[in-house]
Amino acid sequence: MDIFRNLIFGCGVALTPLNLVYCFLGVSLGTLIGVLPGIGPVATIAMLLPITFKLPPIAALIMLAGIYYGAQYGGSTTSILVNLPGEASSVVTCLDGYAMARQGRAGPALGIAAIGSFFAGSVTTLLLALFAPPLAQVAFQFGASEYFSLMSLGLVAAVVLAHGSLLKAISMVLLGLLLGLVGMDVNSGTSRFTFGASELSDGIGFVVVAMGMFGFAEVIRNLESTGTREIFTSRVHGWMPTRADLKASWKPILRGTGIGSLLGILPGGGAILSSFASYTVEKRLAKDPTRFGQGAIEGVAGPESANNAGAQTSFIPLLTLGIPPNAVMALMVGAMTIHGITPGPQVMNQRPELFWGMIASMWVGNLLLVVLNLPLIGIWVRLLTVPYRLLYPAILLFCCIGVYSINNASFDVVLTACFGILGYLCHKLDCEPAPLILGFILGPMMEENLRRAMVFSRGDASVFFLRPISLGMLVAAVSLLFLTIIPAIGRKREEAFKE
Amino acid sequence: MKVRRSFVLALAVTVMLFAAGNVFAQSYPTKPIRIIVPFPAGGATDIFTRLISQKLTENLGQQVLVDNRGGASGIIGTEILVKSAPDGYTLMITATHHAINPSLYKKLPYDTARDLVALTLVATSPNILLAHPSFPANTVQELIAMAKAKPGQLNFASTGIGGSNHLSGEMFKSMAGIDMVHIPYKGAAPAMNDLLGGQVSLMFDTPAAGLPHIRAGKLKALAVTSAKRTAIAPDIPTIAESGVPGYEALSWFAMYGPAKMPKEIVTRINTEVAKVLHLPEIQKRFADLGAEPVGNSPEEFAAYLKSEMAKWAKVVKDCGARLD
Repeated sequence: MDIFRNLIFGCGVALTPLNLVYCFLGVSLGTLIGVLPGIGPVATIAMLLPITFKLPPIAALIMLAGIYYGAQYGGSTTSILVNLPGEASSVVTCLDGYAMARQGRAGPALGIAAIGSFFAGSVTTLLLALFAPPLAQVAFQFGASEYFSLMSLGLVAAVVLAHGSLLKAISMVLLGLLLGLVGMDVNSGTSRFTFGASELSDGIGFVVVAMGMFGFAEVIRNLESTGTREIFTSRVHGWMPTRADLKASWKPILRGTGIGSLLGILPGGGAILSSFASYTVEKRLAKDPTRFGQGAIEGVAGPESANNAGAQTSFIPLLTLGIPPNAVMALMVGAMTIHGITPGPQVMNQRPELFWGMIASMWVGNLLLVVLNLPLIGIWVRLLTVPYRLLYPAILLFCCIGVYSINNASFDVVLTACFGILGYLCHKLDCEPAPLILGFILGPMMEENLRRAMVFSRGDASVFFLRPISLGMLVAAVSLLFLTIIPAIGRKREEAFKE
Repeated sequence: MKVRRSFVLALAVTVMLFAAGNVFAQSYPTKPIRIIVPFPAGGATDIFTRLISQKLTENLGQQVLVDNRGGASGIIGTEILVKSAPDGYTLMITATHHAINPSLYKKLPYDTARDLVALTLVATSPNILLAHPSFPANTVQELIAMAKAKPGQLNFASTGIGGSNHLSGEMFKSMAGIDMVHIPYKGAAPAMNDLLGGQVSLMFDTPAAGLPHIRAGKLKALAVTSAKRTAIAPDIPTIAESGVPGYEALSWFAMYGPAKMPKEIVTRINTEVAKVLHLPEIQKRFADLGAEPVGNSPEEFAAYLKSEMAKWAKVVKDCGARLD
């Protein structure tokens, strides 16, 4: 078997002491920046690039890759403990992870997140090894019309994310869409909602919105109520999920892995979308969807597996084609180029030690991460006993550093503060931020692709129905819309009759 | 008497400033130097800057740091440069955008000609006119014939409105007298993805991005945009020799400082950067990326900048592209 020979060859590269050390360094650093809110892999890798000059290219790339997927593990920690997404991709984990923590189940939530991530990481490593080149072709099937239909499906699904009023959820999605439109329009070059500020011409950053709406807002919210938190810290148990937890989680983990693997390959926000998608699927499939948002372990297990799977498979377009599907991968391209490796389809054949070494190192890295993270859970949980007056200023400080580090722009920090206030207002109005965030991600991509598809077809809208993948997704979107709306209408009628 | 005394004082201050300037140039640099890259880390400009800064650090004995200040086609980073002290400790390396922005934007927060001093042209790079293998035309002549037979039916992708690979296409359209529809993308990756997938059939892109796919047979090259064939791929004909005489569109990367930088500092930086650009190691690294290092004098580069600004202004005006 070629694949085994290749994997053994890869392990030979990944397990040399030097590469092992850098893999460990990478994943530890990744976990750390994942835990620290706002400080993400993009800024960290950009800062570390000059240091990697002195390293052999493989060691450097193994370390940088470790930072990226390590951050996916760490990112869930603060989401679960303090409702603050450490990484963009763990926004969804806040919904049920934090609810679990409030019930004193922070340990199992963190445990299942680590187990799910490890499972997803192991499966996708194997996927990468076996099917990287054919999987890369999947992305080519997606043109503008397919993306538009995929985004429509996602947008309908966004409404499902909310567990309160449907009207409020739709309003939040729309607000998210509008926020997503800020900046220069790709197709025409016209600036929208920028008020003449060049800082806004590239749009509002995702981290700015996520940190503001979740992180800052959460801090403001907690300033109102003092002393409530002791209740749930006193009931923290070990990290081991119960037998019932595992039984409830294994299917979401499998589905999350599948969803993440597929979405990770597509350019543009794979890992982020995958966690949202997985959450939506789990909520749809659940016997009792009302549990979601109240601490359903499926809502942690699925998305956490999905975001790690997405993070790993986003290496496929990078390693097989040299196309970076997201900002982190773009930096990896930069790192490869600086080390004299031209990313592209030949890397696999010309530098097999790099290709297979990186794949093997990912599995090694995932193993290191799970070994590293499970014992750490006890320490993280103890974070909850840190008094508010120390914890929250620290969180705010890290958020500010993190937001600043993305573009080295203080404007972004001020903007995050504004979103913090908006997030607080939304909370007061019982409007949930998750649908807004999804609208914010999907809206601009949807518009861009809609208009690009229409330019391609020279104004003929039938392209969306004539291309099979696109049609399939539109049908799914419409069905989902009916499934969501019909019960709501039914309820309205019942209420009307009651009166 | 009072007038004369202040005159003497002014004279003394001027002399002291001159002396200080000289001493300054000799001792320069005494602290770390920052090179602003007005684009995110990992892109071509960033990579060139990092290669140079690493060598400059070794040669000058001071840290030369790369500071990524991306946003608004390089305008945000340029604004930061323009507002910093002209002491030689804040510099910038940016791409062709800098010369195109003045004609593209209604207004800029700085004056491209007046607020910056041109230090040196770092490197130039042609673009390659790439096509999906299934595209019927194999040469520029065939492409032109095809476009004339079916006007307005061809598409070409770009990494965004007003970038060098968009305007290379617009210039090609107007000089060849054909019509193609421009499809802008958000950056190079999604555009390349659609080109490889055959969703769009043509794109102008850098050799670094295009050559690996050409060699793997996933794309084909119709021509290069430089006036002469490029050393990295000498078998690809130029657009100029394929029926569009006089066509030349280069991507280029150059170094600037804030205006009013002392002459001595300008000369010193120019010499140091030129020295780095002539190192065989750097020459090879740049060549691998399909770029040709230059390192000319500030005067030569200033003249080149002026001619490029005029050239792109005409292309922008002809195609009606506008950003605001």
